Amino acid sequence: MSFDILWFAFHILIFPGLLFIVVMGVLLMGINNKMVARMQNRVGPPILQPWYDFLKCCGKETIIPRRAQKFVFIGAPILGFAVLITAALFIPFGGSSVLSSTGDIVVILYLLTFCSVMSIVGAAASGSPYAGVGLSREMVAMIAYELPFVLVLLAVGKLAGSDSAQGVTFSLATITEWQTAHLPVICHISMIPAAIAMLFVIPCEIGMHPFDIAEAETELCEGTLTEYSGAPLGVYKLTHCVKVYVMTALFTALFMGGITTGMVVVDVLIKILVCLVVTFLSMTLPHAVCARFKVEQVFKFYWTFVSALALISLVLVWIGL
Amino acid sequence: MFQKMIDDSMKRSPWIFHINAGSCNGCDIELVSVLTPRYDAERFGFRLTGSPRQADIVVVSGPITLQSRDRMIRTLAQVPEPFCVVSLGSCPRSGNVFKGSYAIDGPLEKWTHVDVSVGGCTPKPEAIIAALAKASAILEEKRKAMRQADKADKEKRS
Amino acid sequence: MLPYVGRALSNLFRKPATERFPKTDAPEPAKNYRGRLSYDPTKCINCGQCIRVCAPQAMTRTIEDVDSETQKITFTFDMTSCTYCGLCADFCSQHTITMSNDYMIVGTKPEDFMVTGSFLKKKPVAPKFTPEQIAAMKAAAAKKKAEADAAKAAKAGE
Repeated sequence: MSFDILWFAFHILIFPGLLFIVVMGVLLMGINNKMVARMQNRVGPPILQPWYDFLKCCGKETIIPRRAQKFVFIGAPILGFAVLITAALFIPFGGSSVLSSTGDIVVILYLLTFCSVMSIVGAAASGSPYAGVGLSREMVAMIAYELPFVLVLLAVGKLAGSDSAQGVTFSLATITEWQTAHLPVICHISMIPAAIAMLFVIPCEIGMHPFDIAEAETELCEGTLTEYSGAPLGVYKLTHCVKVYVMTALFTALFMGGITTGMVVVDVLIKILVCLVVTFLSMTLPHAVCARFKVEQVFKFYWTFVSALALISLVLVWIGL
Repeated sequence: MFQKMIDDSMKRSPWIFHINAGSCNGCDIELVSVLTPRYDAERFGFRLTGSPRQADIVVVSGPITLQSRDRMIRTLAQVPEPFCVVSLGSCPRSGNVFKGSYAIDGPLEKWTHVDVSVGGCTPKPEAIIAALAKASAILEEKRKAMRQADKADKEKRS
Repeated sequence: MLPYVGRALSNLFRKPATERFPKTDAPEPAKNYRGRLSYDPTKCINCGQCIRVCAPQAMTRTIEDVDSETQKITFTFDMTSCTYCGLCADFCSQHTITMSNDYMIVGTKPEDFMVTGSFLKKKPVAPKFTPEQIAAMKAAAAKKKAEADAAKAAKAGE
């Protein structure tokens, strides 16, 4: 009994849990930064740079503005980080996930939104006009990417749930099983538009460069993070890194899950490789090539082009291709 | 050990905030050129931040004009400890050709501590990189000194 | 958009364009670059032309007596006050002041930016007159002044 609890604690804290998630997030972010730099003909920061940034922020003085709501101001980043780690525990990586339920896609969607809402709440509590503009932009970005994101999840759920009685599944375990039984989701022609749509959703969800309208450092003084300094800022930066891991892991679980060789280590290595490829396609290339979009451009782009891609997939799955 | 790691990372990720105190834009352009592919200061972890709350190194350029003086002091007051001030170019230290003008209230030493200065009108990007590297080394020392002061303070209390 | 993607991908396998400056030596600046001023006190004739043409007043000259015959002249050039225009070098008839290639003008204290040089020079001979000569000169000056005053009064009367 006590061994079970220890094993569960090991799962939560070390292997697919906290430590692994943070290390993976930092590494993916560092590799992304390095590759962006190389694409721009630069040398680039060291791969552990996000980790140094986090440590440095921990060593700085934390200033709480006079007009800020102190409790919310400090609590929001910590809650956001905790929520994101919880979301990551729902995603199977290699073996099965630590936590699972029949509707864990809905839970992940909710927790990811909650994490974004926490940055909005923190910005609103700081009482700075720059943060105010930043949070309104963050809301626009959320509305923009949420629609194609839900459509993609629905399409995958419909395809993987075609065997079950309900017709649509919201369980990542079921999706993984279905992929083991059939082919991975991305091998179906009807799902390729959805995969492309998901690749576009990832950078906006994370707030990576061409879509970082909420944290535009040159126009908005870092937007939602304007008043943050010291350890809370470090937690925000770490949340940013972990989000990279969560989104790429979600992509692999949705579209390339169920590839098993029987050995956990090999499985995890394959997943890490897939994560790297997804990071490269969805974050590094747009970052290196594009300049930052305007607010209305982001909105238009996601509600027309990306949503249309996701919708095509959904329709194709519905008529049974 | 964790504290030592923080000390070490202090010099590995110094974020720069730039204050233009009435500069002619020459130094500002050279500072930005430090981040371009040719000089790429990002390989040492330098990053240009938009908010003084996140800055470690504050770079001030320009003779301190009367209009910018109060804003500069307010911005410097918002930077969390420990931080370094780097004066860029000849202007902040002496006023350069504007010396003695009624609109100048310099030098920068009158208003804040200056850790590293770069001479030149404008300095070459290599000189700026050397100055920033020096400033980040000073940053680590400041953090260590701060920690020791904290320790002494705690011992005194207990 | 596509050409950019191709360019980015090809850059991934190419050597970066960055200069590895702090690891390597600082690169040589362009021809006729005006860097840190160099001053050769052995050639200086103390004409003071450089002080006249300097716009930011970066030069100070101190003259102190060593003994009754000689005096020590010290020139101090403040490199954080200099605009690096090169006028002093152009006006120096003895080519005492030249602009060197050194652009690493980075320091933490004011002394890091000072270029100084001093030399000994024979005092200018003070004019010597006898008391009678002085009295005659004084009388001449008084007479001249009285004449001028009278002319002025006459003019005012008209």
